[in-house]
Amino acid sequence: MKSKEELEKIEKDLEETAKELFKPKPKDIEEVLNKESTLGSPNNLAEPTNTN
Amino acid sequence: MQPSHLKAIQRYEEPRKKARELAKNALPAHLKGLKLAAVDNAALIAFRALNKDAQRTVDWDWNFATKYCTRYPNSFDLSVWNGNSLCSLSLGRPTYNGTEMRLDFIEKFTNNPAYSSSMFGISLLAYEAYAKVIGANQLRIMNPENAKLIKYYSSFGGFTYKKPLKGNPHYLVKTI
Repeated sequence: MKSKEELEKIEKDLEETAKELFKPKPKDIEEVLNKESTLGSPNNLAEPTNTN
Repeated sequence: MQPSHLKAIQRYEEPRKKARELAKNALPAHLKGLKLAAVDNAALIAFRALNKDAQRTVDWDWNFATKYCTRYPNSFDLSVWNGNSLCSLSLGRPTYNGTEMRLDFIEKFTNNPAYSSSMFGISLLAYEAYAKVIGANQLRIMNPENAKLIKYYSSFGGFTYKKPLKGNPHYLVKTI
């Protein structure tokens, strides 16, 4: 487990990531994000590989 | 189950909890009320009720999550809640050498339209948190199927698109 200082740094980095992830998006992307119910594929779970 | 395997599952429990906590703390104010938890019994019970939703686009049985998390002790599971309402479920795990974190699959449910467009972002944030906590340096979204989302995350989310190669699936990757 990371030290307290390392975890504080991670939290600060995540706040920066969050600013990017949740900033206003183009209308067409907002529509896609609202509409799409999945990201990724269940095949990733059903066909696990240890090589990638 | 071998005692060593059980010990491995327990060893990663604290990093999983910490990652969910860190991600929740980093959420913007309008999303702070959401709860980030494991894909635990409560999540699976809630899923069973939502499984009957005619609007579901995939026929995926999330009860598989229990087996998945047992098989991969260092995997990461996330459920996002609005009060008692389950908003999304996701699963992922580090790659074999542990330097990259895979986000394998997210499903969001249609019962929380107010937060619908934020669900993928919340999961990405939590998986990035877990990757950082366990010392991985890349985050991968495996098999992203939607061309518009690939384009969007490639342009704005810091991800690079990798085409399928030698039988391996395509993915979006971000150095963190």
